[in-house]
Amino acid sequence: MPTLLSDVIKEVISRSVTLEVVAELPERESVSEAILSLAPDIVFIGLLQGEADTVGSNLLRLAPRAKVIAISSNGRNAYVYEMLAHRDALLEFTPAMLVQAVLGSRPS
Amino acid sequence: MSHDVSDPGCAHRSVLSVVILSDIRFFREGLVEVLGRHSGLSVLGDAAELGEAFEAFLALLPDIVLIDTGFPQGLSAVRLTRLLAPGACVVALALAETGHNVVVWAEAGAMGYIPRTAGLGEMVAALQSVVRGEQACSSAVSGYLLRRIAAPADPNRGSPQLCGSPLLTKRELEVVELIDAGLSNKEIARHLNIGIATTKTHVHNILEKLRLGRRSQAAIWIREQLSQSAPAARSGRWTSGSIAESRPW
Repeated sequence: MPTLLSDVIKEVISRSVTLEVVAELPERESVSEAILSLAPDIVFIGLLQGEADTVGSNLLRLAPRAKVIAISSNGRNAYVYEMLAHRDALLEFTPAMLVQAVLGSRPS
Repeated sequence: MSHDVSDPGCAHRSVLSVVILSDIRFFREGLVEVLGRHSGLSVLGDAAELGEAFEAFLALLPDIVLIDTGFPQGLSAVRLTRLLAPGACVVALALAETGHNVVVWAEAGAMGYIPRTAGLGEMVAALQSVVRGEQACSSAVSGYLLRRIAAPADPNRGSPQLCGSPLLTKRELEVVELIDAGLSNKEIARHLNIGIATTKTHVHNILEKLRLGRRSQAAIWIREQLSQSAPAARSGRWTSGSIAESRPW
């Protein structure tokens, strides 16, 4: 992500939120290590042109409590990834429904 | 377009008024907010497109007009600004700092630029410098400008193009230029927003087409080509304007 864009992001957010930047990584090589060791609340990542936004979900797996915000290469769009608590009610549940729930498929 | 180089043509005031043109909403509005907080700057307005709103802001006679280099009609916006607000300093914002890009924007009428690698902290000082008629640039850009000046004068040299390069595509020429600027494959990939594998392919194809063994030889090749760039202006192969305007973030 260009410095100018990341600086604007920091400035704009710090107006509303107390922001402590714990790391700025010029390359992606060390991003996994940094996320695991620093456990940030928010991760911003700049996408490359044409890059699939699976990058965001992959980072979210490393930091499931964080929000991962991926910025498109042209700076026009942002994609927010976060784990949200989800509840499914298994009413009058059956063994099959329980197995389905354990396997992760949505109970019918 | 010719300009009086002895006078930057910009105002010398303690508070500089600024108009921002960018079609990237976050960038535009973010800059308005951030620059608006600076005591030395006053943001008169921002526009996402060429049209009445932008022209109305120009009518306020701003000291600086910041034009995002990613804006699709960026060079046209520069020319329009020079026409409607000749006293304003036009500054190319977030420019991919290569010699070609600098020349293309300067020839359109830009009087300064903010590289896309610059931080916000440097931006205000850079704008103040432009108003004073100054512009900091990389050694690669100054080298390019010197070579360009040293090349034989040619009235047709509007857009710098390369002779002897019909084999290379526009993208490959961009890659060679970045090699010449000393960028690694990884840096080139990031600069052009392409993958490293794609970059390596470009480098491989360039070396193969030019029958060279090392990337440093490609850098030497492009310097030699640039020194002969004047006659190449008529070849119609490479129009840097399209490169300068189409570069994404």
